[in-house]
Amino acid sequence: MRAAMGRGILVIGLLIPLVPLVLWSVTRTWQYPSLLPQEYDLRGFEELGRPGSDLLEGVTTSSIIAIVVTLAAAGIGLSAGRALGLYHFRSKRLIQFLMLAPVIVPAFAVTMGIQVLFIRVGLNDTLWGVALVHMIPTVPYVTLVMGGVFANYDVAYEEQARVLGAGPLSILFRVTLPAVFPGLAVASLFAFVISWSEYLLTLLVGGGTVKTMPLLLFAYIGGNDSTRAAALGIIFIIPPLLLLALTSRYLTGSKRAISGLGKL
Amino acid sequence: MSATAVRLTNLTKTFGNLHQAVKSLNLDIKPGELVSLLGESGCGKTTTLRMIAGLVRPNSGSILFDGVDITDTPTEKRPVGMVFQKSLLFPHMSIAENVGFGLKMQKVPQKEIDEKVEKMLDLVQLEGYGTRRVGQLSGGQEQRVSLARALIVEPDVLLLDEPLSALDANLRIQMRDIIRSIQQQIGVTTVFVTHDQAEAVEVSDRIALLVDGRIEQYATPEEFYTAPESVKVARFFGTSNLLEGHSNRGVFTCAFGSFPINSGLPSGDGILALRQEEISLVEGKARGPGDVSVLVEQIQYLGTKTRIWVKPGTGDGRELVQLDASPSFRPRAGDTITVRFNPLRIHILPPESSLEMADGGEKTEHSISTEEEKSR
Amino acid sequence: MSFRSKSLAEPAPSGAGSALGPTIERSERLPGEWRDGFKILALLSPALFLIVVLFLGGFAFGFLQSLGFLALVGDGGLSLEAYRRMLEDPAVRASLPLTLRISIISTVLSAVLAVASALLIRGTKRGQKFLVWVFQLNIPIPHIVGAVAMLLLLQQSGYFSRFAYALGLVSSPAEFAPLIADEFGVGIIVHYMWKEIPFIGVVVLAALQSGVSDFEEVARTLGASSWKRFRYIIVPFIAPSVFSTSIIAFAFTFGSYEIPFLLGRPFPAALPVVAVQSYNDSDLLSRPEAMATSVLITVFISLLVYLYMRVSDRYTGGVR
Repeated sequence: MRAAMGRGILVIGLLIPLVPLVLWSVTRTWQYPSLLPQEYDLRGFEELGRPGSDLLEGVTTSSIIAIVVTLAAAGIGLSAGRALGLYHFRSKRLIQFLMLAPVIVPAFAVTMGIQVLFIRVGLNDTLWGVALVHMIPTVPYVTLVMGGVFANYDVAYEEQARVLGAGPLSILFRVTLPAVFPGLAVASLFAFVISWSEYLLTLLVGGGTVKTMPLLLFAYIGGNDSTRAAALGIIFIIPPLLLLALTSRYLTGSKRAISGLGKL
Repeated sequence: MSATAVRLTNLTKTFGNLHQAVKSLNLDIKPGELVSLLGESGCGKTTTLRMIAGLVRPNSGSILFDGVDITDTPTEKRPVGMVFQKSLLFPHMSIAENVGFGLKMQKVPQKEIDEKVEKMLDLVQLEGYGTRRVGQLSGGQEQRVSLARALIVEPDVLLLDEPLSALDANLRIQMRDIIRSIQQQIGVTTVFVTHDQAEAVEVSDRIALLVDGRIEQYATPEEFYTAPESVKVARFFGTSNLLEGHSNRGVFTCAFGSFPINSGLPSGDGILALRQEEISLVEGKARGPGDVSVLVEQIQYLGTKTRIWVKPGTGDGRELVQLDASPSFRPRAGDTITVRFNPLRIHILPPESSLEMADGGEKTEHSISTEEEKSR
Repeated sequence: MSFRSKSLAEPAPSGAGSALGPTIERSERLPGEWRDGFKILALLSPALFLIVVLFLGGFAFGFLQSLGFLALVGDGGLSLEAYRRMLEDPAVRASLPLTLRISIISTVLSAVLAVASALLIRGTKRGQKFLVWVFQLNIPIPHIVGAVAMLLLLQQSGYFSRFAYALGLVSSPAEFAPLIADEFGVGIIVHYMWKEIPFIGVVVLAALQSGVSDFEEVARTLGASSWKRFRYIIVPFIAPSVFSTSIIAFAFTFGSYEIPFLLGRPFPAALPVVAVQSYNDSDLLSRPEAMATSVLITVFISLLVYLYMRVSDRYTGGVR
């Protein structure tokens, strides 16, 4: 019986913060101390449909950056992970450390340092500059996950394909990628969410001109419009949740993937 | 520690509303006995053992230790010791700590634990191994530690779940002897689960052969050879000759002829079971009861013996009988020879609705190896 | 450097072998080794380039700036002035105990509750899938959104306060104890726990489902009660997972900016917030100090990462 209570507390504890979030997102008026909004409307979400609205700009910018970052991280991480997983070499521990540190160490610390360089090169205040710094926490993360995937990978499949006459591109697309796809999907999912949720790096390098959703969210929180903030919050969660649903069957068991989740 | 009697009554276990693993099983084990639960995988032997241990709750039925109903007692309070197929030595403890674990749970003072651990390790022939760590032992050594760990708490009942199946063949035979001698030395009532028929025969006082959740026969090892109670049992223990026929007033008649049997047997259909070891060659013509004239059908030279399959002397019928002869005897197909069905070893089984031969009329290489395995 | 490919090695001309694999004659080794070496470098270079330039380079630049070089104002020579200023800065002095306190409390409580939750979930037969689903649901929710949710939940006019009102415990928002922007950092701690418990819990649950139940059965036959089984069997089994994920959780909470900024006060603030405050200070002389604070944070967390790798190695023989 104590177990049933414990389970109840667990579920309520985990889900309850979402309740006011959802309710506020559809509120027109909700005054203290009532437990449900007095009036509802969808203006928080309708703004998404208005051309030229902040919300639309935020979603677009965030999406472009996140997609670019994810693709780059997937490609770079795939090849680096292959090196880590398939081969033994003496500096491996050092490389592993170099891959793990950027995932855990807050990127703003190093970004502040590198600002000077960015300004000089003209990457400041640009979308590409922001995308570039987003790669700091994402590329190493994908590398680590793929390192684990390749450690369990049997190169014999590729050798077999080679013997059967397949060229390198063919091997890549027909043998390697399908085999590592689950790990790659999970890693890419988390790379996407990391970029999607990144606030401080975007602020530092984007200088406020690159308007991503986190920046908007911060602004709305500062203002007094809880409805707008909550609605934005809901919209904000949807792509990550969708991606999670798509890749959930690949999610089980990868401890390496989990280690980077502390970032989220 | 006094030896305990174990009684299982109407024990039933169904998994998930679909699979009846154990069907109303009844078993009586005498104090100090080693009883094997023998059978193929899926026959319910491990489930039964785990019910005795308390790790699985039966759907119905009861388990009694010396007349005390312990069906509802949780495992940690049952006076059992158990050795599993995997040694499951706690990896973060030393060997001594592993062996002493049960005593630690009983809050025995450390000094006493140390003494008993030493004695136990001696008993399983691992003196001085106490300080070693788990990763440093071989498979056989690990299982011996596992045994020591189970015995140190002086259980009323010792349960062994295929403890030797993960070891290689030679080691298995060695360990078998160690387990049996320790068990007899201590005198603890033991239940031993195995799928290996030779193993069961070698260590057990009695064997319970399980098929499909039920006990097919519960008897001493010898009785499984001399008096199997059904075709299933006979086959399991490698009796390859099973002939349909009819008993009437002390005589059993089948395709191979008539043979004298126990006159007390009721008349009716039956199946004659005779192990291949109990058929011998006879010089010249038939002389006594049990002698028949037969036609050689197929021969196989096996180096240490010649295996011969014969048909009835009249040449009709599909049934073949198998016997082994000296390797220097090499008849040819079609020869007529005389053999003796040892009348003392002829055993009549109840009839089966469809007695399918283990392999069809023709004996092939493949079926021969199956025969070899079964008779091992 | 010696590289060795894990794939089928070229057959060794000498018959000699070793535990590490067939040894290859020196003369044969060079071409193969070079080939592998190039391959490895080629595969690693994009990632390494990024990390060396952006991460290490960024750190180096920041470190140099903290020492007085590359200054935007001032004479730009080596000086430890920034570090002196940082250590004397009341904002930093107030920040260190606050940041440590928040990280330690939230990580320790999260670890304990995560283990309890994982055990609870493991023991649930019906509805286990639902519980796991709820558990996993939290993980991809970004911290920022979680912060918004916490705000709406815990602020004085928030959802909890309204519950309290309904229960008659308060009669106005002002009576509800401040949990956001409070001195202790309660709101921040609650938020971290809300995210870290599922994070640590998922890993612990996976560990629990990877074979410890066999050992528990053995312990049961040896008379161990459920508490004893927890203490002697389960705890040693899950300790590595709990430790390693807790280190990551601690490192993350220590270096997080967004949450203490949204849910905490400007003073005393968490260390990352102080660093950014210094950075944005209109007084450009604060820049080096901001760099010094960032260097401090980076070095501290890097040490934690190193510690994590050592813990992982000891128990699993590899970075996990």
